[in-house]
Amino acid sequence: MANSRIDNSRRIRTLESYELMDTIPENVYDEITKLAAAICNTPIGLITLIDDKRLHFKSFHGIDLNEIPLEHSFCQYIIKNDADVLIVEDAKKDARFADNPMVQNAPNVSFYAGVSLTTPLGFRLGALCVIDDRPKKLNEIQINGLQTLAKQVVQLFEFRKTKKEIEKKNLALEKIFDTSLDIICTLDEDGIFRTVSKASEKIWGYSPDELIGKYYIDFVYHEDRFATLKSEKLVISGEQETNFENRYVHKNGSLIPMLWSSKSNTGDGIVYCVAKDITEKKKAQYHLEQSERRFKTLVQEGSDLIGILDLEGNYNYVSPTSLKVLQIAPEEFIGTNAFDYIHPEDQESVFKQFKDAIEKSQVIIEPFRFKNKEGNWRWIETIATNQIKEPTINGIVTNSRDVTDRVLYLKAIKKQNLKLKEIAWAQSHIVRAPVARLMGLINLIRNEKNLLDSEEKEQVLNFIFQSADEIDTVIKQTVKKTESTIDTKESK
Amino acid sequence: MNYQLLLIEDDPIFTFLLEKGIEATALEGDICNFQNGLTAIEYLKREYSKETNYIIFLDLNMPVMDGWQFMDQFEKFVAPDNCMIFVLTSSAYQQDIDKLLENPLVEDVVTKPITDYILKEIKKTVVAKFEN
Repeated sequence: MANSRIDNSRRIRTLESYELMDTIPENVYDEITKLAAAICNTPIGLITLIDDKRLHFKSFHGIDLNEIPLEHSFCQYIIKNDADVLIVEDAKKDARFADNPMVQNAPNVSFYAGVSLTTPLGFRLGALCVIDDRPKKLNEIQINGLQTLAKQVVQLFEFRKTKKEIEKKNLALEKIFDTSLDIICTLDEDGIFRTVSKASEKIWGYSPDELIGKYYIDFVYHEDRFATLKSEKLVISGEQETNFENRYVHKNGSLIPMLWSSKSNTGDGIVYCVAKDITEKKKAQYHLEQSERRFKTLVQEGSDLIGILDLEGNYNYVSPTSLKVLQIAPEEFIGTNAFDYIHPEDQESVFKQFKDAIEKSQVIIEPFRFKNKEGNWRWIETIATNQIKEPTINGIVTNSRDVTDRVLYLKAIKKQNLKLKEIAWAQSHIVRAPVARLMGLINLIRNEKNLLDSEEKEQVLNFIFQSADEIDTVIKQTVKKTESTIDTKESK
Repeated sequence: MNYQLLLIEDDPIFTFLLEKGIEATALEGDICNFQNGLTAIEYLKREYSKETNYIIFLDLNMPVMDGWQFMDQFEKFVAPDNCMIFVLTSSAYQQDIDKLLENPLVEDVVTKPITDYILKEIKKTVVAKFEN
């Protein structure tokens, strides 16, 4: 023993771990103290436990005391002297004890024999001791007997401790079993529920009592029974199942998706299972799949062409709609640069707008010409969105559509507008001029001052005829021009 | 102080009407006819005098040199003191009229035909400018 101090902290901790101090007497120990006293022919037998301040009597035979202060104790010397045995034949003649109140007054200790209670790790917890009020000597058999009994006491302490630990563990396991949100259960080799945790009530609507003794397979949704039995066979054959999914039928008839971890112990034929309710997970998974499918449909089946480009305009992804829009397969685009397909006259403007999209978050790129598989120019309008920061995209998303029809239509309209403007101009200038002339000439004729001689009158009439003829010609031309403009529009 | 009435107009019927109107209104001055801006500007470059008041009737749409081009040349060597331009047009966009009126040489923009009533107003304007 390295340290023989009473207050050695490891010794104290070890003593505490046995949870013996201040416990009530127990029959099994009392019988040992009684036997010790009988062996040694003394009136008193004790089992003492020593902490850093006092002596607790776990068992006392022939005396009615359950503790004394440390300094009055004889047993302390077993620890202080690191001794397996301490025998004081006559205390009155021993300088250590002559003044001890236990010697001076009742119980008037004269003889003392103590044997150390030593743990398997070598810690001295206290002593098994016998006391007499008359001086005495023990023979070897008696001392051996005491030592054997002391070993028994320590062994009892050990059993007691182990039992307590097991009880604690069991309690914890029971708590886990009872409070687990997942169902913990065991099945015997016939597939009958042996134990089921309380979670079954919440998850399946059946209490453990309603399940124990029943065939588990009866609670499995019929469509899943075949796969379940197959999995059970695997488990019984020794395989460990950690990810088996099936559906149980709730008491109310609804289906509960479950995730199972199962293992069987070879020998006892018992299958140990933990089952998790994965309704929420399934729901989330379903929603995720739905939304993924929806987006996939939008991207793949829509009429828009969706691409993901890096900052230089190289294609990283092109949606399958490219085949429909440009007759070019998506894989043909990968690794090529978008600007290689763009009409040389449009490249500069598109490049500028593409750079804008990198700076801003989104830019609508004006229609530009893009070469399709046959080498024809198609007018394409694109919305470019910066998704560099989105890790799943990491690029510029381009949403493009063919607007060739629209662009050509607009061009036709522009052309038509130009023609209509021409007509309007003609009307204002070519038509208005002869009308103005006519009005002037009529004014002149109506003028009361009669400024005209007969020759001039003849001339004015000629002028009127000439102007009228001019108006007629202009109107005919206008009709013709308008007709041809409308034709242009309809032929488009 | 003498007056010159310059009629710059390519359409002979309008010229005829204008002459008759001037006669009826008794607008003072020697009448000079020009078929387009070019002949008019050449005449003025040669004959322009500060001692003469010029009342110019200017058509906008003419071959060779139109009314706009004429004014560009004209304003380079004349002052508004002794020149008044009445722009004649068969029809004009409002923005053109506004632009014309900004020129200090342009007294008014008149839509054809010029009636006696308009000529009387023109006469009043001319008198008001030059007779005071």
